[in-house]
Amino acid sequence: MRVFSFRGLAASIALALAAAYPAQAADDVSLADLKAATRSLGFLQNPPKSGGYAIGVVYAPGSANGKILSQQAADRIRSLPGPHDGGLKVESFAVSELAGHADRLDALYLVPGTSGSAIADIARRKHLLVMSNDPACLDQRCCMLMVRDNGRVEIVLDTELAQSADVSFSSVFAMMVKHK
Amino acid sequence: MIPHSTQHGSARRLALFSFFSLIAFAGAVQAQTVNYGALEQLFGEPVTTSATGQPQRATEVPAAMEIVPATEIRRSGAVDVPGVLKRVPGVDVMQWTTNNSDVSVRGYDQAFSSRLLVLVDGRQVYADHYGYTPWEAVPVELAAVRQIEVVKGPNTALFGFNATSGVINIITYNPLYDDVNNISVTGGTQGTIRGSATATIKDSGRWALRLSGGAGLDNDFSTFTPANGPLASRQNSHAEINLNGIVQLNAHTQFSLEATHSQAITNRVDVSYSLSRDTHLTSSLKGQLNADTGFGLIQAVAYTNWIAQDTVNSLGVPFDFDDQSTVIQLQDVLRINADHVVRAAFEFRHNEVGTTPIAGARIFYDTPSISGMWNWTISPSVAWTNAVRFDSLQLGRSGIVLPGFPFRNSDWDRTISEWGFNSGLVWKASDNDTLRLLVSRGIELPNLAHLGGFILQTPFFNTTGNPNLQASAVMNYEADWDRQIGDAVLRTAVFYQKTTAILGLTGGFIPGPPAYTTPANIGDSDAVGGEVSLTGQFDDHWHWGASYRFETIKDKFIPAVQNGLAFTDFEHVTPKHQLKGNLGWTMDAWEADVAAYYQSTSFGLTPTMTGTMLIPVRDYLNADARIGYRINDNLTLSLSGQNLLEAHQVQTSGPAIQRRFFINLSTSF
Repeated sequence: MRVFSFRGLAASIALALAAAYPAQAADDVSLADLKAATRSLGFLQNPPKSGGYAIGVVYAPGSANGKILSQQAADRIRSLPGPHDGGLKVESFAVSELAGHADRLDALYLVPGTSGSAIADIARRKHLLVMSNDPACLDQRCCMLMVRDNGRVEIVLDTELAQSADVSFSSVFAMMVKHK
Repeated sequence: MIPHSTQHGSARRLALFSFFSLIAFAGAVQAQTVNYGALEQLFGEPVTTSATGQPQRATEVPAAMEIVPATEIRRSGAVDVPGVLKRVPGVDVMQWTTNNSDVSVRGYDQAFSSRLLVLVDGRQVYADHYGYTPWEAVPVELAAVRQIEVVKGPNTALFGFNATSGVINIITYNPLYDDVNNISVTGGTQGTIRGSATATIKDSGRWALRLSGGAGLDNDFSTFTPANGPLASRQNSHAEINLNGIVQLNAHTQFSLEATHSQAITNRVDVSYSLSRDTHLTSSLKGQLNADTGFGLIQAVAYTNWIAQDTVNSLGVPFDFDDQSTVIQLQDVLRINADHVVRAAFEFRHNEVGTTPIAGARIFYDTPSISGMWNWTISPSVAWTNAVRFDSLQLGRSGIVLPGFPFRNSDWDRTISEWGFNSGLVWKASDNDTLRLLVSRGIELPNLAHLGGFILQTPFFNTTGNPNLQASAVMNYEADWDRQIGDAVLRTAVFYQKTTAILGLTGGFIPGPPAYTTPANIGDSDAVGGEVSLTGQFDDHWHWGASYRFETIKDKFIPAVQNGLAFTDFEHVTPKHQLKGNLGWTMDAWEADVAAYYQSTSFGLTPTMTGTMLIPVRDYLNADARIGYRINDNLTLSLSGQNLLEAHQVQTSGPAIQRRFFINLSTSF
């Protein structure tokens, strides 16, 4: 006969919470948000000359939650088809690693809570599209494209920031999104 | 000075150099034309350019609009476009025979419905010579249609003349973006045999070609006696072919070429509400250039339509129209900054038709027009769109003038100048609520037959077109409210329409001898109405919709044409109440749909010795249904039925329509 144990119950609750936490966190960057973001890439005027898009999913240094979110978002993006039947090459890293990042990048995806003036500077220098589902990134001028899907797809483009990074979208796309 | 011939040669060499340079720089696909599929996937809703010319999400357009996607077209079980439109809230369909229907939006339907402009990918398929759409001869296969866009209310500011009660723009798949390969065969009651095929070939996004075609036969409803004459027959037939090619000239420029041809032989109810037998032969050639430039989206379009309509009416009188329309359009849609998008456009149109049944003269007009649109995003939740268009039609006539004819060719030397506008304020009041306030003015042009293309002389009476007709104008005032309620969408609209200088087939009289009757501007008409529709889904397997329209019309016609005496009556013919509903179910490989429609008691026009008279059309309820089974990933078998609730049912003043069944096998690869 099994004996009821408070210690066992506590451990089970702890395990359940631990398991639930990433799932809850993952909701902050939903698959729908990522689908809309990667589909937006298909309207860039200057797509990569060869291969698929290389996307860096970026989080704030020292943020354990951000790192988990970033890795989960990267995993989810890998499962998505790229625009024009091209693939998506995805990696996750902290903002602090961005400056020294040697591999080709076409776009950055900032998980919520990621900010810093360095992001926009590097985007300008490397002509990167910076996306996020966090509206705050537009106010902080860290991203140029806010894409989220809360049942209705909402896309806001910071035209000035995009122009400064030499990132441009087709006129059709530009006419259908909101502008900051 | 450079000699003229050298200038000409230089220009040609430059054009050739430019063309081949563009070919040489052909590159991978970027979207210059609107990539409906990719945009719909991104935004999770259909997109359209039919409201303002600017690409927009369906929920953001400053117009009352319904978009029927390909899935709904397929699941309707319809075998033609009017069969699909029958389900759309606010749309009126008068089905006369198996292959002949007249369609309008918000009432005002009639034989040879003239107030609805119909286009396929922006190319007009509305026939200017008699102001109607020969639906049976529209050269498009349903499997090649991405969506059918229905704009309710006038949209002359974008599309020009005859977009008065609404616009239907049939958008086909773009061969460059969409692979559509389909073969479909249908058999059914009334001896129906139909076949349709669509094939797409492409080269890695540099060019693509779509060829689609179809043909069909049926024996018309047994509820009428075919018209007199050597062509009298109960059998209808149609065949059509459409070739659409598109080349990605460079990363920012596309060129497309479309050629179509169709032939349809149909029993129909003609403009005098008599049974007639028509042969329509149509051809078209269209070229289109789209470029995404630093100056916006530039589009240049040129096309010519040829429509030959050979008719034998119930008296055995033949008349043959050969209608030719050439249209050249140039437009630029430019986003000036974050808050302002503008569109500027120029169009030139040439239309002509030979006179009939007395041949020997031609009626023609040239119409230059300019138009503009300004979309101002006032705040994140408020946008205001204004569009205006000015047309200046220069009318003319050449050819013989019969002895005793009341007009000289110089009577046609006149200009008809008209302007139309659309103004729409869209307020997204909350995440769930959108309000629209709309005001618009649309123009219906007298058709070429009314303007003189029709001349009939008999020992008993004479009739001719009239070069002095005015265009008819429709003012529309409208307030709409859309609300998202959970998984359902509520859409409401109230509208008031005032139509002035309505065009009538008769009403004019020139005392002789010899005396002539002529078409005339017969008066005005006011309409007040409201629409409410609710659509939704539940349990992942079910979707549903219901709509109701109320409309009351007051005609103010001259005495000679009141109460249907002369082929026109909107007050009594438009039903006050129209109800539609649909329910669909999907489970694994199965899908089933049923659509019901009801309209209240109204009247219809039927011919008399001197004109027409009103006869009652009782209220009716009927239903269409389809059940489909996906045999494998490529093959679908379906059984569908139309008018299922009664074996025979009178829905118009024409022959009763009958129950129909179809079995369809469709393969996509």
